[in-house]
Amino acid sequence: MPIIEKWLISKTHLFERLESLSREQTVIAPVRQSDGEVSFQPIRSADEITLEYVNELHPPKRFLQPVFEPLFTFNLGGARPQLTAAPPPSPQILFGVRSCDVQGFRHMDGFFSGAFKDDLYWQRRNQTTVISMACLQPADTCFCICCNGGPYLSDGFDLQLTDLGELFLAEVGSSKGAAIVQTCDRQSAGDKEERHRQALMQACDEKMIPTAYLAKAVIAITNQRVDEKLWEEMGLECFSCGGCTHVCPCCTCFEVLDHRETEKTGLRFRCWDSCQYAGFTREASGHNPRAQSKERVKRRFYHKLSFAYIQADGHPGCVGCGRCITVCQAFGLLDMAAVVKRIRREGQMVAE
Amino acid sequence: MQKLYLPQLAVIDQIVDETADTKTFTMHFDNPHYNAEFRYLSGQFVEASVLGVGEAPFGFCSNPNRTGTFAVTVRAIGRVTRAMHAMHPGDLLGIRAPLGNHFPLQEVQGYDILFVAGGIGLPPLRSLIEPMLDMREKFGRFTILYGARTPADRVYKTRLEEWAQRKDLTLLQTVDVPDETWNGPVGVVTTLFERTHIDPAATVAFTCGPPVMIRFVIQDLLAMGFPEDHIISTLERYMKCGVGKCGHCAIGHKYICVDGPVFSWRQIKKLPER
Amino acid sequence: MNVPTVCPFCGCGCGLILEVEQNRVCAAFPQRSHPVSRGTLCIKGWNSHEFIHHPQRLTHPLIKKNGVFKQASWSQAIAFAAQGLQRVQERYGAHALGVVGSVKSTNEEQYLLARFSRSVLQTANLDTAMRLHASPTVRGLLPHWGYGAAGAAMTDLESAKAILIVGANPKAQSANLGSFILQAAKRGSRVLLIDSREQDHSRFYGQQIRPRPNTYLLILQAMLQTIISNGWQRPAAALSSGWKEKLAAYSAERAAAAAGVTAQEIRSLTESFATAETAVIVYGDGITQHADGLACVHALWNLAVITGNLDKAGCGLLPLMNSNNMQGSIDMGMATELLPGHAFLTDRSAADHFSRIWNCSLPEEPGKTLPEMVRQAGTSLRALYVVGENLAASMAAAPALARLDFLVVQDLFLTETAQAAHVVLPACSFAEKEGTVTNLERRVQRIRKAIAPLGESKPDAEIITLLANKLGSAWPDRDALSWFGEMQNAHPAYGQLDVESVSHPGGAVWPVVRNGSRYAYAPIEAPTAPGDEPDAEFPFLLTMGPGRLHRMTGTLIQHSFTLEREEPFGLLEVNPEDAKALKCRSGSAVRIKTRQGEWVGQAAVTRAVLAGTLHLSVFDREGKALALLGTLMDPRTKIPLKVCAARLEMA
Ligand SMILES: Cc1cc2nc3c(=O)[nH]c(=O)nc-3n(C[C@H](O)[C@H](O)[C@H](O)COP(=O)(O)OP(=O)(O)OC[C@H]3O[C@@H](n4cnc5c(N)ncnc54)[C@H](O)[C@@H]3O)c2cc1C
Ligand code: SF4
Ligand code: SF4
Ligand code: SF4
Ligand code: FES
Repeated sequence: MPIIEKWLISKTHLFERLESLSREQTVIAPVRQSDGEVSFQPIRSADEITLEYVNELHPPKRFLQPVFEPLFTFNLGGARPQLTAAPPPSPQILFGVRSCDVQGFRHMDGFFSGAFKDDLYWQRRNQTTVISMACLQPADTCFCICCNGGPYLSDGFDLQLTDLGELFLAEVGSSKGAAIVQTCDRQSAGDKEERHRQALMQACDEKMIPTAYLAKAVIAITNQRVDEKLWEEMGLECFSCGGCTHVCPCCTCFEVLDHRETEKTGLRFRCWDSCQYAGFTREASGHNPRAQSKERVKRRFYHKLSFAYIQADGHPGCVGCGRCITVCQAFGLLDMAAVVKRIRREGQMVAE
Repeated sequence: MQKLYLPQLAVIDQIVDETADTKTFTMHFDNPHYNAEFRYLSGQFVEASVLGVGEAPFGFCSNPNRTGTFAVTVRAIGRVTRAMHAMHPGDLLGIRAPLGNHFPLQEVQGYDILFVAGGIGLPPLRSLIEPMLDMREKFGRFTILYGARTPADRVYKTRLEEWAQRKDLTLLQTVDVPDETWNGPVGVVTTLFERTHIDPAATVAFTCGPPVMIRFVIQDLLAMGFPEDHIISTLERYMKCGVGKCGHCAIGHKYICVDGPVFSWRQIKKLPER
Repeated sequence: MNVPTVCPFCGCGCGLILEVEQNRVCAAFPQRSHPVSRGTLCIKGWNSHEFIHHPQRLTHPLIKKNGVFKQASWSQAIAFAAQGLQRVQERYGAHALGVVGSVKSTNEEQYLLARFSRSVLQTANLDTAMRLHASPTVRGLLPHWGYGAAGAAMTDLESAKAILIVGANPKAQSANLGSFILQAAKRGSRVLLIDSREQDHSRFYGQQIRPRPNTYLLILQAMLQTIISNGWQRPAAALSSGWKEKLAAYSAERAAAAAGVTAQEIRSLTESFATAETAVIVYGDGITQHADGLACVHALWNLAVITGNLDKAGCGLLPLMNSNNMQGSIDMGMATELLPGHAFLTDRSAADHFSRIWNCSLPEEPGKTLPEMVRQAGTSLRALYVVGENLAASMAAAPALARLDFLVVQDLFLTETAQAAHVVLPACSFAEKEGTVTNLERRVQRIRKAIAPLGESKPDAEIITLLANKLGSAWPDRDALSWFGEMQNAHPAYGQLDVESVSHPGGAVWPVVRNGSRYAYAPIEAPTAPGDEPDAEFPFLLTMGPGRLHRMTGTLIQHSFTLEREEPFGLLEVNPEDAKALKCRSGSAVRIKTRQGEWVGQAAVTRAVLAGTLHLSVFDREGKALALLGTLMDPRTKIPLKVCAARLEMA
């Protein structure tokens, strides 16, 4: 494990720093909205930032893979079509991202790498500084402790903050993080602060859903030993709203579409899509390999929990953020925590 | 400049009507340097864009040994394919290629070769048949079975004539619904198996066509005693990115666009959904 | 930027947040603290941003010259529209003019359009698609309950001990309502379903009975009869005289025989319903669009009264509304027989009130309803002003529209209806304007302007004002929301709300005056012959209803990529027994013939439909499927029926 530099920085001071950084790049931080919810939004002034928030429903993955993202523009007006790649994104700082979402970013990093490295994703990613927040306020749907998704991390962030009251405990995870810390007035942190943090994390752990262990479900799904009847029941319950995949920090599927703005000009963009939709796999002939929603529900959990994927990704496709618990129209029946429980309790075929 | 999703422009050289709803598009890349460097393998595919309409995947149908141009055969079925059918030689398409894995060519040398194609399944196989015929001596017995709905629904009618003339291969064709021009066999493609001599242990079979046909073909081949990894097929799925990112084509943990479209039956069998 | 607003699709009225970047709506996601959505949305809500920027949005007024549309300026187009309407008015009189509003327009816009029709055009012919779904609800409930509206809220589904669903598929049609009901079922509430089609959630419900279409009235009357004969009525519910005798004719056995169910099923379902301490009754198009819809609404009302299931928590009737503001059409009196505030036109004191504030005279009798306007197009109806309704699809009205002397269409897209217009006025979407909408539980909520109107498009209210003023009125040019005040004066229940209260997430529910459960019974009515019965030539009973996505005319769905992709074509549901006889499989091409028309499409073989019945799930855009139905309608409410006899063939 890398030795992490730990510092103490006063809250107001760091906020001032963020405010001045916002003159040079986009600083995105939790901001209370008119409807009372807290949402990650670009800020101009430190006063806009709130630290009183549970994780936003609309996940911060949108800052790395926007819901709507132009790939290139085209102009068919001239002698030959002109294609222009989307302009490179500008630098951004994501302040206050929770640990689970940082783990989600790492999942995306892995997925968008490989033989076909997604340069569009990486352009944005490389321009992004992640200042994460060790989690003291889990929502009542959180279970990151079951998924190695938090409440605090040992790596994966540029800078990790723990709220110690007047001060932040700041842990440096990268040179980008170090660059920010270097411009701050700081003192080095000691055992006392470390113990303080441990105590806070302990308290946080206790607030989480403790029953969402994935292991049994991973085994059952990998070995295709989940009772078909359970999938069928879940398929009937599911509304195919696609919410669970939209909000999931580990879901990355997208659709690619052309949009004509005028007769001759337009753009090709990608936008979030969901494997829970029948249209996701329906072919032009009308044939649909996943026509029934039970097949689609099965697909979602196969992707998140099968050993084949865990091996490829290095971890399950769930960081325990609990969002799919909130957005599921079949309340409490088809979210990750519920499904692993159902598979564990009622869903396994007896061994032959 | 990001490149993964940015197509290269290609000029359509020639458009040939194959059937009432199918055309073959031969083209080359507009950028001469890119065109000169461009190579692909049998079984790989392109993502073809009609700008402003969309993008769709098509298997190469041309012989990879003939560099300088390449071709795809396209059935008009939806937005992109219909827009392609409305194009003319000289028009420009966007092309991202080559994508996907390829048919085993070196690995099957020394074997008897059996092709079983249905309808629009012949094009991708043609991109393998032709380079094989370029080195015909490397293979044993060479059999092509082709089934279509009607005689008019067969693609590459002149090429089929040429193959039929050749002494070093057996071409058998069948149709579901004959017309007055047809004096060949009638019935589904699997009925042709009885008319050929196949030694399952020494043969590698390649099959492409509608999913139902493939299912029956594989059933019969297995019954004949083909080893599971001597049956090679292609899988089709709704595809968007072609590079393993958009998620549409995933079956189990395989991405058809990257890990496929070419699979042996042994691999297909193991997938958790089919 | 995040803009909180309300979903533009079904009647649930989910709260959603639009994510806006550079004047483009990029995403929609749910409001966590919203009482209906509770952090969830259905597929439509999640993708409700897609149609907003569709390249085919209308961005300029269009005037047709020699059969082709030419771009025009707003002043030209408004002048052209006004002149056209005026010419028809001068030549044939105001009764030759008609106005069709949209059940998606805001309350303010619908109020303005009603006022425009009555006071500026001075016509009695005004209607919306409310007619096609909810007119039996208005006609059936208003005289007894005082409102053509729901008496229960979604949250009542949480406390109800029983939920009776009749002729509705909440999961498919009003997903979040379906979500409340699924939760109730899983919690152990008695969920009872009367519907001929099986549903995804059927197996999680307590009981379903599957009567043949067109026999629901007999079942409901048999339920009443069973309640009385077992003494299950609540003490407070005194029976009207002669009731027992009247109901004696409706035994469970009779209903069972006609409906193809058993009397025991009817009795046990009735017992579960009647003996529950509290119950909500949910009903939908399966009631209102089938034979005897009004009589069925009466019977449902009677069931609620006799079991004392009104005016308490966990009780009441909850009719589904197919659109985000169909309730608003009723509330604002955007129908020929209604005035704002749930008064019939024939209520003279209400009529006097509105003739005073609108400064116009009001007719004593209703004019033409939507189906009558369509039918009489080219004869007694000469010109139409259509706001956001694709009549060509919803009423198979293309031929009728072609017979009009003058047609003004105001819409987001060049629909089949707009294509028939002489002048097209580009309206803007829910994301480009302010206003309020009312959901199926009377919840009034703000929609908010998230982006500037696309191109030159304008909010409906502004266009209606321009047209009114061109036609000689002097309406102030104010923004849509400031009409809220005037609308409130007109509608006593809305008068108790204010802009602030409706602006919170979840808005405010307009209050009803409670009557302490002393409600009069509605009449017990005998079933009528539906008119198009199966026979040897047309042996099947075909029903039609909304699919999960496509409903109304599908204009918005059609222009939303993900939603269109999800349900790209209509499917004909065929029972496996019938399919076997025809050698028909899922995916086979089939042809339906009825006495009126013909339709070709794909079959879906499923036990969800009863043997001998067919169900067509999607209304296609050209109205071909609708043409199968012909012109059968309920004589009292003029609601076109969605059931007819049919023959099935392989295509
Ligand atoms: C690897 C591969 C090779 C193919 N090779 C050929 C070929 O050589 N010749 C040919 O005519 N067709 C081929 N197809 C099928 C072809 O891609 C579809 O017919 C085409 O995408 C339809 O696009 P559209 O925009 O016209 O249809 P639309 O209906 O307008 O678009 C539907 C979408 O569905 C997807 N889709 C539709 N049908 C299929 C399908 N059968 N398989 C996969 N995705 C589909 C496409 O991504 C498309 O964007 C191939 C498909 C794959 C996956
Ligand atoms: S599966 Fe659910 S809990 Fe897990 S990361 Fe995704 S949204 Fe969060
Ligand atoms: S959120 Fe729930 S209801 Fe919606 S698609 Fe996912 S599992 Fe189904
Ligand atoms: S349930 Fe209705 S209101 Fe809610 S998101 Fe779906 S269509 Fe919109
Ligand atoms: S086509 Fe996008 S992952 Fe295969």
